[in-house]
Amino acid sequence: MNMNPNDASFRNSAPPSAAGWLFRPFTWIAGPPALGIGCATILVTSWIGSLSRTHFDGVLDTHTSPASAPLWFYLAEGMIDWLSLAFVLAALGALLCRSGFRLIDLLGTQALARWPMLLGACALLLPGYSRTLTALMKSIPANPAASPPAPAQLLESVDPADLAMFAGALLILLLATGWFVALAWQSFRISCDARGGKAVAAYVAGLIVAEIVSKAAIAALVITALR
Amino acid sequence: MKVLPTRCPSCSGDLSVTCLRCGTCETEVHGQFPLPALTRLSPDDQLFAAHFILASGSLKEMARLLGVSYPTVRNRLNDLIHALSSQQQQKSPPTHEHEPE
Repeated sequence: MNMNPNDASFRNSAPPSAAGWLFRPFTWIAGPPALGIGCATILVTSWIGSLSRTHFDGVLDTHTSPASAPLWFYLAEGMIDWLSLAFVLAALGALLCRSGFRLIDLLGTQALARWPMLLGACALLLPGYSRTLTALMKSIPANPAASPPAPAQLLESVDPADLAMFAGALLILLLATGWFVALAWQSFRISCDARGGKAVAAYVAGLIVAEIVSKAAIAALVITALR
Repeated sequence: MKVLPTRCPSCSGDLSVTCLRCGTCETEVHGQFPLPALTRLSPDDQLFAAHFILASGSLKEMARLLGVSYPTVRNRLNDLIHALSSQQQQKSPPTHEHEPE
């Protein structure tokens, strides 16, 4: 048995593979480094979102608005999404964890888990996405009582190339959201040593509760901002 | 390198030491000696325990040396604690005293 910590064979853990970094990054990074990179990613994602007027208005929500909003509002939404899920999972972790866990590990890994949303925000910058969205918005009748146009009519008003970009952007956003959910689970599993079916059920429940909490917090922020 | 067997290859029961021999004077001691708890851990767990002691019990230092995150090392330690606790529970099963009616 090798007992020398300076020997290379001391490092008996497998080196991280590309798939490992993509889907289990928290095996190798957590705590303050993850917190720093994660917070920077959240801020950049919110800024890029503001360029296409895209709001991450809930832990799992992404909506593009025709109305503009100040940059601070986009940044606050990103922070609320991150902290809502992190603190709900921290409460669940305190109930499930076999031993104590460090809050900074959960906060850091939850922040970093949101990085796929940066890809989603970039995808929504595609010009075809905003042009298609504008065309679709224009085709909605101003009078709510009027019957909406048929899908065939809607498609006629949109350039096929723009429509392809629109569909591509939505697909990337959908995959990015799924990736974020998987990473957030990995963050919870590793930071709180959560295992088994009970942990999975707790995570799903935590996602739902955090979604409600974040929606309520963002609604409160809107009311405060409008005053 | 030879690995100390801790389980019977025939029935998977716990093995124990029945003979110890002095390498200098060749004196032999016969008896029934149970293996210490640490030797009954898997080789990986034994290595982790040794590294943990060499790192002065610092999980941060272990994480740095192993190139993994702090919670990964902490979870590995939890597994080790669980393995040792299971051994202790097997060694001393809870006694259920039956009160005579």
